[in-house]
Amino acid sequence: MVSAVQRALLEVRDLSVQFGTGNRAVRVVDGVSFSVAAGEVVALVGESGSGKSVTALSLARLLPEASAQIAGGAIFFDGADVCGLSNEALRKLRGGQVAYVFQEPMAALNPVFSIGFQIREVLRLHRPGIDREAELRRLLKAVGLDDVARVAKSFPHELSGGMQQRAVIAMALAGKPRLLVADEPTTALDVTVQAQVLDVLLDVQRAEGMGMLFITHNLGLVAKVAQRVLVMYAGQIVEAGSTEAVLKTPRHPYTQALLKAVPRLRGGGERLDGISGVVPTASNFPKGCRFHPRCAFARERCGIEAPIWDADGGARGVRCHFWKEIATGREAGRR
Amino acid sequence: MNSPLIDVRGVCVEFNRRAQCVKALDDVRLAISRGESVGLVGESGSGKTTLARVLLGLQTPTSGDVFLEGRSIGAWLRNERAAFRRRVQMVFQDPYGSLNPRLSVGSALAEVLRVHGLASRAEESGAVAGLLNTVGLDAAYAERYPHEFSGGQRQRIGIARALATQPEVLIADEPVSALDVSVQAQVLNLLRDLQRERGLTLLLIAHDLAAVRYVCDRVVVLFGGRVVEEGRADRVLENPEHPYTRSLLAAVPEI
Repeated sequence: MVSAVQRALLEVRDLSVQFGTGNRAVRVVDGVSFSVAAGEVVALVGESGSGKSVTALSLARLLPEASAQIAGGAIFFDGADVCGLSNEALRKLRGGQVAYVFQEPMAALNPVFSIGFQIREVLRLHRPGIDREAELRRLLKAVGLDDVARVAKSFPHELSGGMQQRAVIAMALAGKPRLLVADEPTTALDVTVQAQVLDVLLDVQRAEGMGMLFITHNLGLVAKVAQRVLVMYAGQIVEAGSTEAVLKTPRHPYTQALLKAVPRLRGGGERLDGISGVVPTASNFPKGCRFHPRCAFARERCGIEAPIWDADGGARGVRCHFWKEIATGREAGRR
Repeated sequence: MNSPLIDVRGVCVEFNRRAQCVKALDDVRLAISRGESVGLVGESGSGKTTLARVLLGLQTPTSGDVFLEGRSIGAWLRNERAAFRRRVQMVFQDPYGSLNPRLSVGSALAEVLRVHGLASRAEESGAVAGLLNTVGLDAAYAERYPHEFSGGQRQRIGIARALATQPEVLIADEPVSALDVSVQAQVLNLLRDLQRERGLTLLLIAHDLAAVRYVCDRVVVLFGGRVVEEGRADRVLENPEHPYTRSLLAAVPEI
């Protein structure tokens, strides 16, 4: 792990985020650790309320400080502690070193300024002295908006959803970020458009050698984009590892159940095993293992004692008391 | 030869926006037999929801007509509106927006029974409990209000409300797209079981092709207001013929 830590562009150590104060404080993210290296795509998977977006927003301290506090842990970007940065340094970090692409392009764009104006603004703030018109053209072409002159003059509402999201990606790239945080960037788009926008995102990620944290609830997308995957449930990372390993031999019962709950396009129509119950909210995370009320393998210990993070040497880790036995049981079942 | 339960004959729907005319549906022909489950797929703007609205009698076609048991929807609405509403029911996409927040779940379900004269006062609570059980909810939930439920539970309540009239046709417009992944399977299983056990005629509108394949016998692909391909679900999704269906399938990221 040590060498990976030294090289990591982003390193999050034992991060906890809470909303509210005193005995009404609710810990939404609880002890999350991970890293993203330059040029690497890491997927963060989870359902609504799992804490994935809060984790993402805290990376550049975008959460409103009046209501959300980083209650523990540290975030290192290129070796510097983000929590200790001055406002001045934070302004440089946001949009310059770390850029975001969110789900709703219309919410990320200002409706009363043209696309060109909004991209030039980023260039003016983060890359003074550059030939802005040439760079604007380069950025729009890089995201597949080839009709540069027309798009630059357009206002957000004059573009389709797919074009808007491409414009947002161009804006995110304008500051030459080293880390791109993409929070459900294609969820609001139609499938065919989703595939195009995803290709654009991966193309520019490779071309610029950026690190990317890709947040999604769609396991199919994970297989397509990420080298590594982190699975979040109820504010904690419950499983992590290479995408192939996690999707092929999931260790945590939640990951296993999630994979079985998704209907497949090919193959027979075997009955889906839904996960019983509902995703718990942060104010009433269950005691012990947070997944135990919904877990098919739960035993008495699961409701009493919270499982610790069980990492096996490399980047693979799981938060479950019984994952080894469950894995052996599955092997036996298969034979 | 069975005549189809629902027969969509050359339906066009045009919307006039200023000087422009938008063709939302363009000569759609579709026959659905009793007890069949049909998936309607296509991207936003393809006309899926407009077609659902036409089938529900909420949108009058510009030309063409839809027949239920050989009688046009216009005639049903003029002569036997209540009977038509009983027979064709709808499950909406947004489980948060489709329930009255000020009615307990029990009163919301009882209201449907009362409006359609399907249960006497004395029978009401028993019928409500039965409906809740059908969709896998505890009968005690009748006392609770919509905000006390999760999205998946609300969608079950939406399905129970639609089932209250014992419909023959159930139209579900993106019933799981607003739900968490772990909960989607529960609702898809419920729809599939209801359709099979009760012989419901189900029209499932969805952009999730895998979900459609899981629930439906037949798939209809809409593009730009036209039916571009239709056939058995496994055939269409394994060997798509129309280039649009192919591009739709190619775009789905698979695990």
